[in-house]
Amino acid sequence: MKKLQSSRLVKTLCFLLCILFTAGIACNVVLGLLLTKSNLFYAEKEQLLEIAVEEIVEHYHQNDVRRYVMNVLSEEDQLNRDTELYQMKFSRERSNLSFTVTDEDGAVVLNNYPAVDMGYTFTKTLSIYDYDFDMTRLNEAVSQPEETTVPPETTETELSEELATEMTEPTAAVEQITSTEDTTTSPQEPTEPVSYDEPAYPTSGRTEHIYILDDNGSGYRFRYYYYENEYNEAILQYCTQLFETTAEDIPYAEYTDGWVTFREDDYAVSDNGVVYYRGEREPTTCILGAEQDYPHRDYTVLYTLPKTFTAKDLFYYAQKLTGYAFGYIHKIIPLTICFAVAALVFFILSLLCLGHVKGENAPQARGLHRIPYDIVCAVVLVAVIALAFFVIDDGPYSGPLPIAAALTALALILLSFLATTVVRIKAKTIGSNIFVVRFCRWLSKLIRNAAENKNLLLVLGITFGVVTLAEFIYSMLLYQEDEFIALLFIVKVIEIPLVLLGAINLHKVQNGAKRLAEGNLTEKVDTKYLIGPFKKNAEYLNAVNDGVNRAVHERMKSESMKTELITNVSHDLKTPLTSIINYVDLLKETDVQDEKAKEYIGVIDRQSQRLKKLCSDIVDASKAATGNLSVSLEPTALNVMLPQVIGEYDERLRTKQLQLVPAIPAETVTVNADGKLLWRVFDNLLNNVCKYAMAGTRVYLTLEQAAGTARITFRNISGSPLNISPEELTERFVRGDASRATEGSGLGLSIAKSLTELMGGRFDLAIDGDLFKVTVTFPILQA
Amino acid sequence: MYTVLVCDDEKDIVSALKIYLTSDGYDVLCAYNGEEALELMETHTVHLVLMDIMMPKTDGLTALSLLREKYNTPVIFTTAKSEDTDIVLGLNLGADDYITKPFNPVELLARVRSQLRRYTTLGAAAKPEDNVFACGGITVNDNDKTVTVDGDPVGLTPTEYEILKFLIRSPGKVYSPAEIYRAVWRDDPYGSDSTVAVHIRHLREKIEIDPNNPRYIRVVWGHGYQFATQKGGKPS
Repeated sequence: MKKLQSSRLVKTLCFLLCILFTAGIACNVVLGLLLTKSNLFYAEKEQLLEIAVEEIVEHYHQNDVRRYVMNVLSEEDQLNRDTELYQMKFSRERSNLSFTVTDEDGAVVLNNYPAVDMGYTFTKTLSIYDYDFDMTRLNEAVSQPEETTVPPETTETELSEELATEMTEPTAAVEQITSTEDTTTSPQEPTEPVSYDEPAYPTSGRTEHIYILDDNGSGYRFRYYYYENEYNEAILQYCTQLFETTAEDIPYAEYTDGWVTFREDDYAVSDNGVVYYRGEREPTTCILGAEQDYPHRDYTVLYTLPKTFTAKDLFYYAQKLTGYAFGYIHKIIPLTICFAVAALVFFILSLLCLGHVKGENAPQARGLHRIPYDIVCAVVLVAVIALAFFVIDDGPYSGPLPIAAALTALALILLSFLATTVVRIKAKTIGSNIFVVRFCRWLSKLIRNAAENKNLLLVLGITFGVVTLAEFIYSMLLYQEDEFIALLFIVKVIEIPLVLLGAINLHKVQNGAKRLAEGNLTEKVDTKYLIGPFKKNAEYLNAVNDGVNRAVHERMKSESMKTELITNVSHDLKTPLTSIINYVDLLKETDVQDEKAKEYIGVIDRQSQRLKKLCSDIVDASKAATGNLSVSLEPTALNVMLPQVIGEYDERLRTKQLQLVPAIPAETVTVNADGKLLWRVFDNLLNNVCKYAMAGTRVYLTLEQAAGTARITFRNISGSPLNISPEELTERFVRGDASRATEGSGLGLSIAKSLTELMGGRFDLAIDGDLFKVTVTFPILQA
Repeated sequence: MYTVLVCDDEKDIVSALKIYLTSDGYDVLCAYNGEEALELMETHTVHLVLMDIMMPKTDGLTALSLLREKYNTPVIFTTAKSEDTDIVLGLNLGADDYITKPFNPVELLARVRSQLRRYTTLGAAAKPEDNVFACGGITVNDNDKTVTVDGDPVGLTPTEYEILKFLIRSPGKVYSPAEIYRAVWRDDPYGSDSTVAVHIRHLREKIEIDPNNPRYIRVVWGHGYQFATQKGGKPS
């Protein structure tokens, strides 16, 4: 069951069948309505055939018969050849239709073949029109339209009478102009058009039948419906349709918006509805009016059809088709009921299947069902209204088939709407998936996001406001139409969230870039809510972040490996060194008589001690340089610490005959530092002083506060010339050349510098002649 | 006559230590890895162990934890591992002292002597007398104004004596130089001078084995000084 429900094939099949049956119902309904309207719903088979036959004669044979008659009447040779063709067409072998044309006097003009078996018989009047009208008269009408178009109704009858008299002259080619006045308002009009089968049109407008006579004298009939004030436009539109004109066809016309507008002097509309039009097909006259009022001669045609059709012409097939149609018409009601039941069953089946998706337990709203519900509702409403109007409104494109199609479409839309509603209810998304709600939520989130950064909002607001104001002023000065201003307003309302969104996006990306620039590699740009190029940009930034992270990680790895290597090597060095130191010590204890040997032992002793110092310094230097050291920063009072340091070195300085001059303020100067590491820094510096300062000189140690920093300065006079730059001095293993021979590893300053920087301080070295000056600066910790 | 067990995988170092210790009057047992050391502990009466950490078979740390299951013999680590973490680990496992290589033989002997004295003569804490302050190996007798370190009398100047007495009365407490000055000199200190620091340095040189890595009087940089209570690691 579940499997069937989630099968795509079953779902599609059910819905398609449902639609198919609905289309059937629509067709049946339209057909039934048509039949009811024509009172044919319960018609007999013969009645149907009769109608079919008359329709065929009227649509397919009447014109041929007319031409045949005209050819026969005419005496021109060229036409005689056509006559032969018509004779062939209407021969007994080819046509079941036999006809006899008699003129007004009862004389037989034409008979194709004598009728054999009188099955169906009916007579029709055939009017042969005189189309050789007077060109001069037309031109007069065109050139003096105001004279011909006399507005008052009273003169109209006079005009008609005048024209009527002219009509009596048989040789004169005269346009018969028929009044096109509303049939309801002027029923006394003598030239009232005959009524046709078409249903009555709304009384507010009027309907007209417009005839055009072509060169053959046969009339095309057009039906046109228009409202009173659109009278002229209606005629113009008619002409456009009639001649299938485009702007190119009619050089006199202007073509705008699909309408052809004739220039005034190219056409004239007489008061009684004649359109004189001079186009390229000149001369052509459109006549609005009834055909029988045009100058013509009437002939009577007696059409006869046999009971059984021998020739396989249209009538033969019409008879067959009528048989089928009759069969169908009688079953139309039960069939419609069957269709309805089937459509209902399949619809229910498809409703059962809807929403079930493979691999999901609960019904899901997927695909088109994810379109917000209010949008769906709006679209459906518009479509339903449009289609309903199409069905009700009997417009120019109306007809049984389009209406059936429209009904089917209507049913399809309504069924789909019902289906999507059911799916949404099943998946419980009907309440949440509403565009208005989602939009409002999105907007409020946007505003909240923007509110987080007030500066951005302020700048944005001011800029946007100024630009908007300028635009409004500008457009008010230039275009004064209210519509344009309103449009601008709507555009602005749409613009605000877009601009806001863009700004927030930009801000996020910028923040990400800023973090990257500051070296904060841990936080990436969140690309979830970014759009378009901002998203791409953020992704690129993240890629850069990844790259830098990788590089830093690798660098760190290699640095820590280096430190590890140095530590291990120094460990391995320490063990043999211990033996050396110990045995040298033991050797000193032994009773060595040789003075030279004693001296050598002394050298080994000194050098092994140096090696020992070097071993521990090298590890420290490498650790300090790579920051591979645990630093616990805590408030440390420098004014307490420096005397402590001095105390530690008091003895040694005195031994070296160095006079220390401290300048340490009494007030508390606290910095954030690791006491042990800071001791190492001062230890190394004072050690340096003891080693390299010239004996008997003064050493200055100063603590100062300046611009939020504490500055500790060590100044001493170097014992040997300093022919080296301060930068080089802090390099590892570098010492002044002259001090090479003395004790020390050459790492002291390097370690001090590294440690200071590790604690967030600054280590500066300056050499001025023999003055050696070290400045250690730390930011003061505010209490 | 005390017996010292020396355990190191480096034979030269063991021999050197043996020479030093023998000349100082100790019996010396030699082991070259942790296992041998433990075996010797079983068969001999050992008063002190000098042990390396990085050794084949059983390393120093393992050997120490096995040893501590049965004996409370003092153990001094002699090792090339000089990281703070190594020292803390060694002391926490139950070592009594920690000497990093390369060591000074004189310092090593001093530490051996100190530990042995603590283990044998001063093993049980002396019954506290009035006006007698003792902490670790230091005893300050205020009655006759004498100070002994690991039982040996030390000669101090009156100022040094006062400072030591002041600090040892509350071990662990950090006193700022100003506080010490007020207590000892009974006067307000003038500005920031290093009088206290100099005296403490001298005091350290007299009572500490290694004045640069003091066991008793410790410098708390930027704050003051304290008399250390626990066996602390040496600040490297």
